[in-house]
Amino acid sequence: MSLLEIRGVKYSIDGFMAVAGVDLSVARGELAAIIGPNGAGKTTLFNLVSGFLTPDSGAIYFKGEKITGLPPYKIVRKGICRAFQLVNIFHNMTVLQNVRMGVLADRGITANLFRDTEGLSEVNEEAERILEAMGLSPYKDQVASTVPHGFQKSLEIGIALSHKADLLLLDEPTSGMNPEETQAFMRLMEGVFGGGGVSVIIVEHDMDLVFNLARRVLVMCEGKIVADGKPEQVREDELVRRIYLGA
Amino acid sequence: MWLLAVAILACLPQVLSKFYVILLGSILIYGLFAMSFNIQFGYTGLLSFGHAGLFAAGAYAAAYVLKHMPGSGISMYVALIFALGLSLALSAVIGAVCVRLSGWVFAMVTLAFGQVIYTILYKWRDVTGGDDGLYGIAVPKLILPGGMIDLSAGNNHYYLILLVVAVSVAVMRMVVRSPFGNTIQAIRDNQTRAQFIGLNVWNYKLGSFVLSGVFAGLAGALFSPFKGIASPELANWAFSANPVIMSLIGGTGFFVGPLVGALVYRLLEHFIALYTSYWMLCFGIVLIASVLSFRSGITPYLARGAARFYEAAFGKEAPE
Repeated sequence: MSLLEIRGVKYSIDGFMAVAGVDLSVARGELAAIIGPNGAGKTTLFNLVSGFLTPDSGAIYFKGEKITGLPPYKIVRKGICRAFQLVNIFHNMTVLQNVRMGVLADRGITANLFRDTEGLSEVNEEAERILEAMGLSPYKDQVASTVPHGFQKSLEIGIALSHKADLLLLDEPTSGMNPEETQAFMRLMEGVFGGGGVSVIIVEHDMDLVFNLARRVLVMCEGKIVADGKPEQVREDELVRRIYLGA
Repeated sequence: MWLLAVAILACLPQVLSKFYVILLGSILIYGLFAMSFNIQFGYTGLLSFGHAGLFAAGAYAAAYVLKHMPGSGISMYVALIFALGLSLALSAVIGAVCVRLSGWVFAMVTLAFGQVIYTILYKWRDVTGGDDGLYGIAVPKLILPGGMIDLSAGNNHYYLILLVVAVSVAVMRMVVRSPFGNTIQAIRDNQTRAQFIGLNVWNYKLGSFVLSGVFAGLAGALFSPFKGIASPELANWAFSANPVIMSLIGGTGFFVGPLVGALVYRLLEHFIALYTSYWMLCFGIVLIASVLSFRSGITPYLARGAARFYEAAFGKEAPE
């Protein structure tokens, strides 16, 4: 059984077919990349899977369970976590507090009124570990909105990683990162992926990253998936070369 | 630091005249009211204009109990519990309707609920006394493990207020530092992100609204026995401006900000009114000036000043 199963999903915005019938299944432990020109429907597809939008038709299954129409927080609890294309963090909280918030939510202790969060050593250690992996430790006590953009982007991913998710959706994770940060991100992804069990779908414009990292590349164009295969196959695909790689 | 503040507040009645002890008592009550408000405003990002309704509910609940069981040693306990229960129930109902709304719609609907409470207090004469309110509330006696104390004697009533306010502040401090406290601040910062880490944000907003309402009710329950009257004006929307202004003066980003704001507000009001009957006008000007020049409230400036004083006086760095 595949982890994620998307069947005939369509979504239109003001008469424009943003997602025009997508069928896709992603296996457990798979690392897939979605590429495609701007407006191809990649982010909309993420929004549909994560519950930010509800499809006009079609259905989405996760671990064999239908999740179409569920609110985002329920979908997160089922094990799908996402990072956003534009930085979407808790901007008035410190870097550590941002990730710690994710850890608290993951452990289901956010309704606790009586414990001092600073004193929850396991939670704080977990958050520090994630910050360490993201290279954010030096910034941990800074207010999130004051750290450089690239680090905010890393933080965005750090929040997503604070969940023990089965499926991670990363929307252009490296946009706004410098080459070193991108390298660090790739190593991190290898680490997440190397652990096994976690599937990652990543929307990305950086072709080096896509072809180095992903084991499977999907190409979207005009709301449809037009190619799907191993990186080397997709790279050679005639249609893909014409519409996307511009060769 | 906290103990020091409570100790100072406990000693002040020894040096102040009765008049200023009463003023100080009312400052503490307003401070509790404003701090309860700031749990939803500063910490959760919900601007309610109906908070006075919950304060009034507590005030009337306490006044009603004290009027109907005068002279009993447990009446004040019953009054506090009844006030807590009523404000809990009301804020749960109002919150359940309002927390899915946001921004100005939230503000207006909470204002409407506040006015509903006001109208009920105004019209339900048999129970609430109508526009006269409930007056002539007997100052209660209190049974303590050591025996009965008379709240009308000495500064006993002030000490009861200080005790309840200090315990409430300690509880609120615990809450804002807890995982729940972190969560409501995260929701204030970015509600969308909060949903995408798996939080049902409406439940937490409701929790914050109820918590805030309960402490407002408690403040109200201290208010009516202290003043000897509960009048419908306590529920009016204009009264809801009190905690808003106090929080803004003190600074919504600081835990004790609203308490500091209450202190400044009440003292300014008192001293300006000594010199002119146009105190509202003068106060308005001071308010505009302070909001414009102290964007995040006066608390951080006072804290810095106090730290500098401490360093000068003791020659070492001040504790937090």
